[in-house]
Amino acid sequence: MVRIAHYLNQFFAGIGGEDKADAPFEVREGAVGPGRAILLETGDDAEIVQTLVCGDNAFHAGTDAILDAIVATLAESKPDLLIAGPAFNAGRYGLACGAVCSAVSERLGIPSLTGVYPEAPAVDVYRSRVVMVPTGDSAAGMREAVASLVRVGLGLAAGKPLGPADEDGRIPMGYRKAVVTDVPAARRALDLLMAKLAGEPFLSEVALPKGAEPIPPAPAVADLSSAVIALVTDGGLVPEGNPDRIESSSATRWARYPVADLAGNHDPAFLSIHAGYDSQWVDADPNRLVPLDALQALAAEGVIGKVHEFFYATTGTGTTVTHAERMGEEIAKALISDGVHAVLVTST
Amino acid sequence: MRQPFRLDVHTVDIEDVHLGDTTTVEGGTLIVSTEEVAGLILEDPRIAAVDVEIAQPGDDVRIIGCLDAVEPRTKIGEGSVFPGFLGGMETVGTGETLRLGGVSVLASSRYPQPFSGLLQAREAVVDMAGPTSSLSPFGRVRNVVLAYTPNPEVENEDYDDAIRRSNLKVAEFLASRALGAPRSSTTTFDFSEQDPDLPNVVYFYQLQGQGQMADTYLYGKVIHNLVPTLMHPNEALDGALVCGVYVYGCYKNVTYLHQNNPIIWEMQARHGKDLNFAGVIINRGHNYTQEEKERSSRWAAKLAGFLEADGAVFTAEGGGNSAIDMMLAVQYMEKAGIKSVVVSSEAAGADGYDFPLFYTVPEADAIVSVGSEDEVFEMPKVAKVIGGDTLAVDGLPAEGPYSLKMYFQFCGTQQVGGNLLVGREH
Repeated sequence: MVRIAHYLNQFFAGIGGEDKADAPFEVREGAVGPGRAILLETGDDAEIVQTLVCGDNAFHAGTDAILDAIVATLAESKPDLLIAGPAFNAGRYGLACGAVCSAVSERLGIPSLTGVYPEAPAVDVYRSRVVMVPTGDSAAGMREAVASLVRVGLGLAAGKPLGPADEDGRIPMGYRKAVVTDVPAARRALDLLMAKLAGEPFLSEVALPKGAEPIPPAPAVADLSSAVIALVTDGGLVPEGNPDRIESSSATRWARYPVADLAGNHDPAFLSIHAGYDSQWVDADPNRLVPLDALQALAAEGVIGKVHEFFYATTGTGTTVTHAERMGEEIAKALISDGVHAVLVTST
Repeated sequence: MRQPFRLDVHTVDIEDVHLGDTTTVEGGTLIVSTEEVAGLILEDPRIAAVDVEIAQPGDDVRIIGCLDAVEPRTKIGEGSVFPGFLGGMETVGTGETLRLGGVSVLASSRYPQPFSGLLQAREAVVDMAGPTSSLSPFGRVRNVVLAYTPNPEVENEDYDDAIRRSNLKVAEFLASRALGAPRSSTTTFDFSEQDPDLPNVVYFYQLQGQGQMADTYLYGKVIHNLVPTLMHPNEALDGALVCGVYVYGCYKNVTYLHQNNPIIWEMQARHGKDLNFAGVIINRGHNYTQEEKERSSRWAAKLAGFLEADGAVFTAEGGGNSAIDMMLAVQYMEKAGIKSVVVSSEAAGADGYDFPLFYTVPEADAIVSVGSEDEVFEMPKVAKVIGGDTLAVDGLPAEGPYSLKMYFQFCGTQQVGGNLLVGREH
């Protein structure tokens, strides 16, 4: 028999509405309110050992302490599963359910889930960390919501790995994973094409990105003759031996090296470890990738003020957007703190 | 494609493979003589030695260092399979061809000289049993593995040529031993009759042409200066295309998958019912400059227009750079009113949260996924490894266990649809 702990707000615990939203955290034995609907759905497969109740305002006023109390309570009672809600389209309640599930699953390793309306604010905040089933926008959808919570929840409690969100009947957590199919890609491709040609609705297996946020360019450099210019490359130029172990593809690391070392390209020699282009001409003369010679000539002529003492390098091939954004931000911060005015970025 | 161009592919299904004294096919069993096969191979002094091994589905075996896989085929009567490599120059795709169904000749080798830089043979593995056998289409195939040892004096480029020719030769030899065997089935590839009431569909078939170790051979020649070219689907099936792409294990099209290209087989099944198969446009993937990419993608769209295409299926080989070539072709075909569907590998990051495509155009609104190159899988300890003791990834002991990216699974997410994985949002 699966032992379930259940989280509810003051309204669903029968304490009262908005005027009772300050109701303090309490633990009740057994099932309360929607918990009874859960037991109707599970039949003899499960029991509700505890119901955790907290007013919505009280939860948000003292989140950390209440989460600690919940974790301590469940560390003691060791349920097999935590169900929070369903919260439907209630903003604060949904966020509380997300926070409780996140804390309990991450700190205790107890499978946890909640049910919310797919457009509720909790979805954006917790979808990547918390298992959620979609519900209607109000308690009118209680029966369906409970059925989904029980179906997915008992699977979690049994240790069943998550499958594709649409097959599981879950709100997608936002990550992609391969599954084995018995319909070959060629057949799926031709099915899609036939639908598209017939003007019928079709569903791409990969959705196109929403428009990327435009990044406004920095204002032009007012006086180039006094500007410090840095060299940045994603062409994988590193000292021989790759001391910072920058990956040759799918990079997660960047590093900076003194341009003084690069100037003569001697001991250690600089080489490209990039796995996405033929680097033999760069290895023969790294100025072809990181044009230090040309930039130093401009500095000598007084066209620019100075070449920054370090150049920055990573590898740009197969790099995920997440890591590319992070590394870009980290490099930009370092450049700004060093008083660099502009960068020359060379790619491959 | 109204010109008659008919190919009958006769299949002898193979239910078991084992080693024996004489190479024969009897009652659905392929018996391979190590002595005969090694004799053929060692005619070439660039190869020092070869181990002939059998790896079948269910065997507790891992094959490492996988390069190319070839389906045993031979022409019946006149002609040769793999012109440009075997026999004289001619075009293929007509007449009769015999294939051993469910068998591959799989080359496994390291190269004689150390590699540097981009263009090198990287690790590619196949597991024959358990859940990890689904990570390569060759986990479902009976593999005659040729584990080669190079002559240490030979340069990589030369050795590469040696094993390619050797593999093709052995594949042809094995099939030739089944000429007298009863045939399990025959599939006819003939697209000369076109129904004016059905939509015309072309196949945009992009092949990697990036340099030594990442090249596709068209009738024996690399495709570096190829402009998009019209090809009959039967030519692709009948040995006109040979793989030399060893840089990326997961999304390359080995020769076996050119011979058995699932898009072409699916088009064949639907020709005259759902669609008219209007032709194959091959394109070089990995053009270096934007100008070259614009040139070839616009050219491909122009050819599709000549073929009066209503729709097109797109597949590429490899990742980032090549995805741009393909996506631009999608864009120009869609702009010309030709509906597109793309089959693509993903790159969603190790945790799967990243945006999965290298490059997209707004017109590519129908994409079929074959899984992500970044996903990491737990490879169990196996009883036997073919192809060496050490993985060419961090020097790991090949028997396992270890975690391994899809990138190193042999054809795991190749994009003509040979494997059975699909990336799904979880």
